[in-house]
Amino acid sequence: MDIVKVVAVGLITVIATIIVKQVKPEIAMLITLTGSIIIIILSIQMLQGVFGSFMSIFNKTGVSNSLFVPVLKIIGIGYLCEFSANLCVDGGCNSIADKILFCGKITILIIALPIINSVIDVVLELL
Amino acid sequence: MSVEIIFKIAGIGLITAIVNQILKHLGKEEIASVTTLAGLVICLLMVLDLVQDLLNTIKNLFSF
Repeated sequence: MDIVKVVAVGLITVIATIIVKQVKPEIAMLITLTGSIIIIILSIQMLQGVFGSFMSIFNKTGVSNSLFVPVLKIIGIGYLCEFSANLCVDGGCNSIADKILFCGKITILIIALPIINSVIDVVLELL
Repeated sequence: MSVEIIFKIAGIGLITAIVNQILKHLGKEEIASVTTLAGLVICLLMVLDLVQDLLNTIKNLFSF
């Protein structure tokens, strides 16, 4: 899905938002949300291929697959928190955006803990 | 999955505003506020479908 379509959707969304903002501010917010969702859905489909090749590379290294799933989760949480936080900033509520990012960081920490433990175990075995 | 949903929601917003103006001139303020709410709810329902698609895509891709 080439970049031209994403740019087109983005510009159309901005113009529609400006038009409707004078008349109905709340619906303008919905248009911004719709436009960003369309762009993200179109771009995430491109990621499918990338993750497929990551998986094959990861399998070649022989490391157990369970280490790769948390990495995927962390990337997903990062995308989601970034997406919603920016939308909250657009809507004018910066405090809510910070709360979302704060919760995202905590979730990522929780997911990353088992990996840290496994690394420490491996190091202890070496010593 | 393209721009027509953006135009749809923008259209609903504009129509709601016009209907609102007309009803205000006719002196029926209470109906005007109800039509505004109706327009907003319709737009919300349309956007909710998109949000569901997005979250399902992310859930499948990042194996949540």
